[in-house]
Amino acid sequence: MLKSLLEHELNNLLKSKRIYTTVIMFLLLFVSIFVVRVIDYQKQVNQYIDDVLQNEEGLRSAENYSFINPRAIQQPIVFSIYNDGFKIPRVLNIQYYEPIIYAESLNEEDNIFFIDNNQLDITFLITFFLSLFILLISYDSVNGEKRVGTLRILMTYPLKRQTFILKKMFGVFFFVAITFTIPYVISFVSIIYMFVNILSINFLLSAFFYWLLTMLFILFFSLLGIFISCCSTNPNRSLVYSLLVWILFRIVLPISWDYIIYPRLYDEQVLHLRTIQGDKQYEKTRVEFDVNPHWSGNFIQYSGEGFYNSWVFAFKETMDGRDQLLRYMYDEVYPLTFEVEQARDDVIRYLINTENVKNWVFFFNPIVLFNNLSMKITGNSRGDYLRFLHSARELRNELVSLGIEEGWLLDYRFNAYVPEKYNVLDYDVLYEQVEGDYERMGEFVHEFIGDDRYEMRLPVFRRYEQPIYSFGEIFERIFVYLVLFVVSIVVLWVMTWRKFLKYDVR
Amino acid sequence: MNQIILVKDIRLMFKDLKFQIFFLILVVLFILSAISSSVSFISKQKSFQNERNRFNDLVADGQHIQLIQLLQNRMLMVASPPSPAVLFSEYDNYPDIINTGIMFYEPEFSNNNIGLRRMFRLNWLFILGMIMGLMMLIMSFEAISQEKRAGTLRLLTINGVKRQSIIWHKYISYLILYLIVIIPASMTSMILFFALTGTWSMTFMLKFLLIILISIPFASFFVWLGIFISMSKNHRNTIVMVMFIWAFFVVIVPQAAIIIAKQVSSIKTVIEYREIREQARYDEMMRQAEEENDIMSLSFEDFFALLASNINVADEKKNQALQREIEENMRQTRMIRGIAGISPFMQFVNISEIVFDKGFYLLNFQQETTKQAINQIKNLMIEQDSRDETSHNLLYSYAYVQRLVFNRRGETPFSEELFEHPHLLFVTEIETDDVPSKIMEILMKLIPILVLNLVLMVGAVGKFERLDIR
Repeated sequence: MLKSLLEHELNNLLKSKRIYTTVIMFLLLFVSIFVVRVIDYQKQVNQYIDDVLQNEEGLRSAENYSFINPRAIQQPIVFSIYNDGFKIPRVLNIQYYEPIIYAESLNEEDNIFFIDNNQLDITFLITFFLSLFILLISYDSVNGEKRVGTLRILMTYPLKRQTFILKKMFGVFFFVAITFTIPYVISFVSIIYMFVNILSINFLLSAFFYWLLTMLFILFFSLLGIFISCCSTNPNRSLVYSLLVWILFRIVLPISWDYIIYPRLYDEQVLHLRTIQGDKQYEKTRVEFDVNPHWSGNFIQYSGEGFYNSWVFAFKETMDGRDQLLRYMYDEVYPLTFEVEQARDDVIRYLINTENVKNWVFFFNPIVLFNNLSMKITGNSRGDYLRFLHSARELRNELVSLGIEEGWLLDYRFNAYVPEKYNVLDYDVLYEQVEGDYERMGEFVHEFIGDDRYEMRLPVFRRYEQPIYSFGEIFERIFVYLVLFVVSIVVLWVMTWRKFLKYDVR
Repeated sequence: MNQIILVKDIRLMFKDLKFQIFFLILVVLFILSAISSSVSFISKQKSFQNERNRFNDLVADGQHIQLIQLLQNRMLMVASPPSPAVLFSEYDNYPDIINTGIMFYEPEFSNNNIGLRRMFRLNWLFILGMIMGLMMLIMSFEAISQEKRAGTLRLLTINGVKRQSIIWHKYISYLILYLIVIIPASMTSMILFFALTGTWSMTFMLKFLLIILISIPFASFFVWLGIFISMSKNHRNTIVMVMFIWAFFVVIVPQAAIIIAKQVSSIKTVIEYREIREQARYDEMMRQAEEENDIMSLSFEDFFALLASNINVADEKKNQALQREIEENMRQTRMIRGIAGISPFMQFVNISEIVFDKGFYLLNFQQETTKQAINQIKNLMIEQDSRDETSHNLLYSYAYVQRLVFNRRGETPFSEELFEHPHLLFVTEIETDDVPSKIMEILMKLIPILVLNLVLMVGAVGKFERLDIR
């Protein structure tokens, strides 16, 4: 009986002109958004390749250890075509004692006049259009049948009411699920075809979980549409109700959280944490500037960037001072770097926390849940950003301890311009020799060194690698909220069922 | 008779549950928007005040406004102060602060908007531009079909009421309804906003009224659309399509415009631009180096005069590259706006920029103001410098770096006195068009939507004349 009813329901849906229009509209939107996103993604990949090449080039051309500036560059996530997520630039600069707290962009375009807040992706299509689309299909599923009289006839059969409502729900659900799954699978296959060389297991896992989540989403909205349909006898009225519910879920509730409740609850604490971070950063800068001026006394230095990316050579006294400076940076400044990073992490953790609170507050709103969970699945949530920062810091720490181990971080090699044997000149002796004429002193130094340059061998260190997720890991991330999602669906089902038990079918 | 029909229409609508719910939602939205905008306005004012304080500190410090230092520092700031326009929209797609040096126009753009960047923000633009269109559509999509179903349409024509007058009364009653809904709610919101922020400004009240006035043609467009739909055989099916079209224009078009325009009119990457600038400067310096000048024979004064002019020329080349860069960015921004302009919603946004002196409209004037300020300040600096007897009047960017050579002789390449007019360095008054030309511009921008209205009206009236009302 259930099977025949289901077939009947699907057949009915397929014959409706309204459904055709909706499906065609949805497919058109899906295709157009997908194409636009793929083009955008291709561009990002090209930029990423440029970034990597530039980074390698920089490392190859490093002339001493202070020039070593490896970058952690995040490959654009393939699944970001579906879900753009929390957008950050993809490059983290790794420099010995600099805190790694913000991502930077290298080969990205940046229009100075227009600040981009684009959010057009498949997730948007689902939360915005698919939800609307399901409500528009299902708003008259019960009262429409009542109006034409078929509901009364059906109820004369030995058919339980919950069976009827179940088949209604499954009818709508299967229909929408198929409408979504077909283009989804096609797009999925075309992505595999297009980007096969940069795919990883992450993409497959994300795609699977995303699909699962979308199915839950569709189930919730199908039930909601049927529930609304049970609440009113007039299809016109239930159309208005479902539009109102949609506006409330999609627009009013999230907005009032973001702009009214959120600022009142959290702004102060975020500001406080940010101030702590700022203070720590200031503290670090102060210690850095607090260097004994004697240490950087009479030296000849090329390249104006100071500590990093610079050459220092010539006088013995200078090199001694430099050694002390290197030691000072390692002993005094380096620990502060961790404190700055810690303070930054506190800010990010707090923000992640507030996002999770939002999930709990809006447990009944699948749009909020879907938005947040899809980011967790794709791997471009704020938490992943934190993870990215952490892995770059690990690389930095490894590099620093390698430098300590091999010794180049704390001796002349760090800023070397010439081999060590030339760092023996005594400034005072030379000054007297040339009778205070700086020009002659310069000439003397250059003659002394000749064309002999320090040649560095690039140390072997670990490079950044994109994290690979396992099934369990992603599942663990979303498990709690998934349960929340399912519970809200069950509650809605019970409500719909109870409502329909008391429904006047005449 | 006509009056009776009109009154009947309006009364019926008042009794409609749809209307009651919508009215309630609108009032809530308007009030919420006032509260959230006031929060954002106050925090913006704070951050603007911080900016001003920071500037005052720099001035009080003295060192930063030495004439010679001004050649090097980016001390000129042209900022548009936060205004109650945030109640309408944040306009956070566009920068509103320009920082530049004095030697050349080398702007650095920033934005004092803080907080989240989301597609939907709770403000009047959201309510008037997005929600109202949808609501007018939902209100009017069964205007004719309902009467037809109930048989009242037939009765009306029997009584000798012309068809044209029926449809006109429908239309007018919906517009009146729109005003009835909007005016009290928006006025409450406006007053609440002014009360919460304590900035009672007559000009802005008038501007808010004006924007409501301007929103009427947009609402009327949706009313005609709704009436048009209500005459179709299956109006519930058509409304689905219209909903998608609405969402397409309001959401998809502005978003897709950004991605498409970036493909069509692409700009170079940050690094490429930087390289081009540096290259232009480097090439010029190399060219100069090839020119054979017998530097050794030059006197101290002549040598530095030559150096200064050479550096100036090289800087100018670099700046020309920068100007091209700005132009390219500008071209892309225009392209984004051009494509997004297909949507009536974006037209509404563009008009509101003129009304409130914000966004891209302001940015053009802001750049003009900055260029004028640079000229003015430069002239004043030259004038003040000419009075300093120790100065060599060498106006070039490296003067500060090379001052030590001069100082040894008790001289300076450019005056080291403090700039006499530091207040000119912080500009908040940006001159835009005068009122008549603004009104002209707004009217010009209203033409497309008015034409759309006309087309739909002719279509709807024509269709109603031939409608089978049995």
